[in-house]
Amino acid sequence: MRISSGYQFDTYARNVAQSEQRYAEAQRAVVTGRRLNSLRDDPFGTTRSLTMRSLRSAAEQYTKNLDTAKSVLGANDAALSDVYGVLRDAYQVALRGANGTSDQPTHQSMARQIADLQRRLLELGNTKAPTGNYLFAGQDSADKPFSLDLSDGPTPPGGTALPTGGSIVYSGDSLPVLVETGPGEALSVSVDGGPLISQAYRRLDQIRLHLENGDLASLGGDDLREIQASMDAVNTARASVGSRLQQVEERRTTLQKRIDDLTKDLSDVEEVDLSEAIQRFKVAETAYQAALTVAAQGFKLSLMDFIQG
Amino acid sequence: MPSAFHGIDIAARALRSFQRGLDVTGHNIANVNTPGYSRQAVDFKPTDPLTLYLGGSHALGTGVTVGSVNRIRDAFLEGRRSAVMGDLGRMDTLSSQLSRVEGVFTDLQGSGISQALNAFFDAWSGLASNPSNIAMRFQVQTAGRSLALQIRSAYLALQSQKQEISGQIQQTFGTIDQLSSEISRLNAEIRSQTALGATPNDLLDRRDLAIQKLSEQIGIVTYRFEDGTVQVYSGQFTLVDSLQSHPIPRTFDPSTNQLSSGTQVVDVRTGALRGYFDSYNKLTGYQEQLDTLADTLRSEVNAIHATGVTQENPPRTGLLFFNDTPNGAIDFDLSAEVQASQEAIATGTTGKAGDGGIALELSRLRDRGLPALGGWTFSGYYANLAAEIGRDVRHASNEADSFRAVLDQIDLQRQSISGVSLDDEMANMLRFQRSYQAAARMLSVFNQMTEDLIDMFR
Repeated sequence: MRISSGYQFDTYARNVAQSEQRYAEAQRAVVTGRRLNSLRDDPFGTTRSLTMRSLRSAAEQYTKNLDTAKSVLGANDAALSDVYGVLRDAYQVALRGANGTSDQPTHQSMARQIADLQRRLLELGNTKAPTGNYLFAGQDSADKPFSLDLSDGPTPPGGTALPTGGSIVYSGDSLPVLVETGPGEALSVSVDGGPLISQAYRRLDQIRLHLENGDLASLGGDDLREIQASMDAVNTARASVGSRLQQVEERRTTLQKRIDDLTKDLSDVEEVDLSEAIQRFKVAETAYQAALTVAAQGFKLSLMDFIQG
Repeated sequence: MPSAFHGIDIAARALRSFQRGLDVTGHNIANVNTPGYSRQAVDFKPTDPLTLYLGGSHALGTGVTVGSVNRIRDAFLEGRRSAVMGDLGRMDTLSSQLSRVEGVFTDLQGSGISQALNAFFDAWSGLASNPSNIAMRFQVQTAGRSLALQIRSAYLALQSQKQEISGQIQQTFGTIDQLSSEISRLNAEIRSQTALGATPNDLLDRRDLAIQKLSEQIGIVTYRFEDGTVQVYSGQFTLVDSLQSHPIPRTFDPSTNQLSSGTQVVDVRTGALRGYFDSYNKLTGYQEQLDTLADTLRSEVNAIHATGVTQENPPRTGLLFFNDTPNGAIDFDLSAEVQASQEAIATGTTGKAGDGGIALELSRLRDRGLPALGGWTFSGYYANLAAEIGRDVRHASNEADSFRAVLDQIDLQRQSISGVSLDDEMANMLRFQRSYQAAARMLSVFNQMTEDLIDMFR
């Protein structure tokens, strides 16, 4: 075939340009470590990459939500543990009052101890969660859930005005506070504290009244049984919180595993295999050098150099 | 009986002819870099013989003359090249336009609509899990604003590119008209020179080049006539007839790929012009998908959000999250209320601090396949759009590459026939130089002979 000079020069130039382009692409793959740089590089890979990024982003958010859940559940556990402590103290006071060896003034001081415990219980009922909301208020957690209605309820006989006079009022609700832990999954992080604490408070009221009245039979009978029932209820609630804390940990482990898997899959889709990329780079480099050498030799060859004069 | 100076005549004609040969070689070398130039070759032919009676009749040669100067060219290759140029022009234009679209969608760099969608639903999930938290609420507002901005600015980038394409279509019309009138002008010159019996090689080359350039802009067919002129048609429209060129209709409709002027309609099938139409249509398609995405976000998010009650005092209900009117991606933004204050974001149906029901429902939209999106989730729908753009770019650039490869093949053949080879021309130069030297030597021999003859009588 007849080769014209124009075509010859064009071919050299095009070959060099093509090799240079491949060389630059191979170099970019090695330097960036990425296989997917623009949408055209791999449209199917793009879909996979975007889907996996979306899944990973959600999983990371669920992990953050679990942090919230953990801190709220932790606060619940601590508060319930304190409530249990208050009830246990009250139980022991009632037990000492009921065994009949103590006299009237002792019973009065015991009643004041119970009153202190009641005030402590009320405080615990109004504990705030780390999120800044009241723990035992259900969803209505912006306002103090427990308060005393001083207009009614048992007033101490004998005229000694105790600071805890009045009946307990619960203004929260019993709706669960939810945390999203996965697609379609939500975990309640609240304890239905309204009935639990109100009932315990009223039972302490009974103990205090019976101490003041010297009704030792009720004190040693129903009162002890009922306070024991409240303590059991608190323990049940704590167990439920504990099992939910465990769920949070398990869920977090699962999510972390999922995030790790997705990160690995993403890197498979988006990133180059470095050893392969370096190999390609070497091949491209050699091809580029060859194209340059051939062009340099070819440009030099001309009949003109062989014609004398 | 030939004259005594017959030999001198032969030598003189040879000198003249070889000098013309050398001239043509020089012309070829001078045009080695001229686009569209076809190498020329001198066709030598013997002059008419004399009849010599010398014991019978003999034909006596009288030397050489230049028969013609020919353009070495293959008309079939020209036609094929013109067709491929049309396809290449179309795909090249489409590919370069779509490459720019690719730059608008930066999801693989971690900053596109897909990331904004993720952040948006993540923020709702966070708020659902901590409904009274001011920072979370702020995050939802920010994520919503950024999502709306991403979709809107992608739409606007496509819009301004479409306007630019329209401008380029107008420019292409200008180029087409300019080339048509150049072809028409060359037609007239070629016709007058052909009428005088000459072959205007260089004018033919220039006209061929103009036809090639024209076919890159719009698909054409050409017909050659006896008088040397060509007529150029695109579809049913006559761009150049034997007398004049006609301006191409300026009214265009990319959706039908047609140009029109009055009742006349031109189908545009190939060339850069078709590439611009294709790009325009592709961009419109992407815009429609962004519209669908924005409108579905509006309807789905607003429907849920409007049932919520804010935690403000007094609480408000029935608020929209995204603005409702007008429709489409172009004005997509937060609603005026949510824009004004993050407190207008409802997390639940009761307005209570711990009620994250609405936020939870909105967070769960993330995984819901929606009929308005063909059963896809928001992220899935968008990922499909991104993949579609990727596929379109890839397809167009692959097609362009393969047409370029075909064009290279044709060019190789064309250059092989028509291209100037400097080595060839060097050889020709030597040949004509040597021939000239030989003819000159011959002349001096005849001269010597004539001198000897005259000296005889001295």
